[in-house]
Amino acid sequence: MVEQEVALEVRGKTVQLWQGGDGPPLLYLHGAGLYIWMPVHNWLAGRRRVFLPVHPGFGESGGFDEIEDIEDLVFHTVDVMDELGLEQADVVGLSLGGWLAAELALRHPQRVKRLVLVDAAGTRVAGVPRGNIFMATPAKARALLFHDPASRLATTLVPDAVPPERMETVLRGREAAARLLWHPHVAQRKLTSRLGRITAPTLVVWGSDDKLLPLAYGEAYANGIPGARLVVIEKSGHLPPFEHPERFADVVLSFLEA
Amino acid sequence: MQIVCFHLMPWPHLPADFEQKHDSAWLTLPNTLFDPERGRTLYTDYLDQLVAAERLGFDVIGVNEHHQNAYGLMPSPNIMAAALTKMTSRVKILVLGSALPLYDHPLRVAEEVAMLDVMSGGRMIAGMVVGLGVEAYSYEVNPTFMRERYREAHDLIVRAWTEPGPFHFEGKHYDFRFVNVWPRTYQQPHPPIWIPGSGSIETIRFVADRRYPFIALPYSQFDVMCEHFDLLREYAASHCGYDVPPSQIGWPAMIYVGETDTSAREEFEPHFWYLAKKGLRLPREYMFPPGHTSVESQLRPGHAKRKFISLISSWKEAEEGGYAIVGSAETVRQKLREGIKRAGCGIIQGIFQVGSMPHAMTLANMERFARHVMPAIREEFPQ
Repeated sequence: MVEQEVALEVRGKTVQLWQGGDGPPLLYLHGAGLYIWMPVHNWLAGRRRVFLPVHPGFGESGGFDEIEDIEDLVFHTVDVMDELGLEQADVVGLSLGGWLAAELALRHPQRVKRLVLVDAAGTRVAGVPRGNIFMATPAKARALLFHDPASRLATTLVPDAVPPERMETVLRGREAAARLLWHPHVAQRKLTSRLGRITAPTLVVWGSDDKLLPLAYGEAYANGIPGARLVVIEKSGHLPPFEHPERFADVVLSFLEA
Repeated sequence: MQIVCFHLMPWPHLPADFEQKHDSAWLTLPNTLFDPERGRTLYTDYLDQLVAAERLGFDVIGVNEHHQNAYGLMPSPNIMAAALTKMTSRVKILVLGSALPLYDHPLRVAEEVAMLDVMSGGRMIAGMVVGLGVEAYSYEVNPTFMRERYREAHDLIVRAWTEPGPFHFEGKHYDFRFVNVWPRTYQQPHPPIWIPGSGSIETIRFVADRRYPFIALPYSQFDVMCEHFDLLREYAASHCGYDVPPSQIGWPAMIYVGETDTSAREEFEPHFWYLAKKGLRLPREYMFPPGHTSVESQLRPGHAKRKFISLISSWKEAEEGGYAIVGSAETVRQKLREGIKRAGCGIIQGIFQVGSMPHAMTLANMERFARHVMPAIREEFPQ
């Protein structure tokens, strides 16, 4: 299950890809803040072949100029699946990646075997304010993202000052994130009204204490997608896969293997 | 030398405990702090100051655009310009604005400037700005598209002014099937275009390619501003094959002329700090949404050297950094002379009302400047 980092060529663009493990394919769609192989991926790779493609504009992946909105990212992700020879895969998406996973399942149901949405962006719940990560200082960002903002995990993933050697990647990643997540209210409204069309068996996983996208957003996904089940991860904020990797992997793998 | 009397029209009544209670004078500052009665007096005084500038012999009067803040009360500078077209008769009127990417309908800018140009008999100077990062929030525009929208809106407006209508403008962000602006601009082919900028590489290239006057932003060290002018001159020489003339370089400066150096500082300083610590109280996170400034510009070494005015803490620092030009007439003349030579500029964009400075003090400042400073500068640096 040792991870491997490779560069794919997809329609003339470079796509950075992490992969590892053996078993049925699991496509992991990353969120806007972290796009590297983490301990949770080792847990998943224990029973699955995990593919973690880095979205355009993030990390080492090119092609950002062609991404205007989530629809473009769906097309791109289908291209990546084609390149990887994945006719169909289980798809797990966190935050931005969760939104992408839901849009993918909506538009290309034959490509998604089972769907796991984790603290997923992309919907609109009237009257429940979302956090604004782009307006947040590092300290406020930690408070929005983590159950324990003072934890080593929180201060490592969201440091007060970005190390100079990582600055360019971080700035480009923030720009790529803002392109998609600034305030996509039309896309959110449309996805929210279309959730009933998703046919993949769906598990919604949510941190009990998510302050960026409160639990009401998870409930909206679970209530909107036919047959979806909601599992709440206690003592977790916006990032259950990183805050509780083993517990999270257990929940996901049990669902995928049920 | 073209000498501009530029106005920001600040709200001067933020309470003494403002800094303790609020982390920003922009975007999230409750508008219940605005008092319409006092606002009415302010608009009257501020417009009168600009009208006085014509009488005092300034070449240009200028208004500014910002949204949802106490720093400046001109979300729509064209409204002020419209009033000024009828209150003045000779002076040129600069709108700096317009924040093009904020608008889904930049044709409105083309129309309004054309109206103003006809109403004023060809006295308009059209500014075109990207807008501040915080204004991406104010107008809910995705900051990662602001540069693209800016360029496209600029092209649309210039074509709307210069090409016979109707025609179809086909862009990525703007697509208008019937571009046909009535009225046409009074000045032909179109009013002069001035571009303010914070010195980002993108803006430098944009103005150099088009030979537009470039006006720096006033709130960093004088030396940092001059480096941007140097960058413009170097880029134009190496990539566009021409030497940038002084008429293409504008130095924005807060100017206060007192009777003596000591009295000038005493009178000016409280209003300077009001601007620096209250009006420009603006969290970094509001100011720099992702994508508003390119990654390339943010990584440039000069970016770190710049010290925004709200971060300085002593008058010594303000004076040494050249954040404001303050003193007796003789001192101001001397500082301007040196500064003009170093900056290589042919435009002085003076700001004479700063922060909470009251009406009478502002007028006295403008009069002393016009009487004791302006003639000498004109003589030494003819147009």
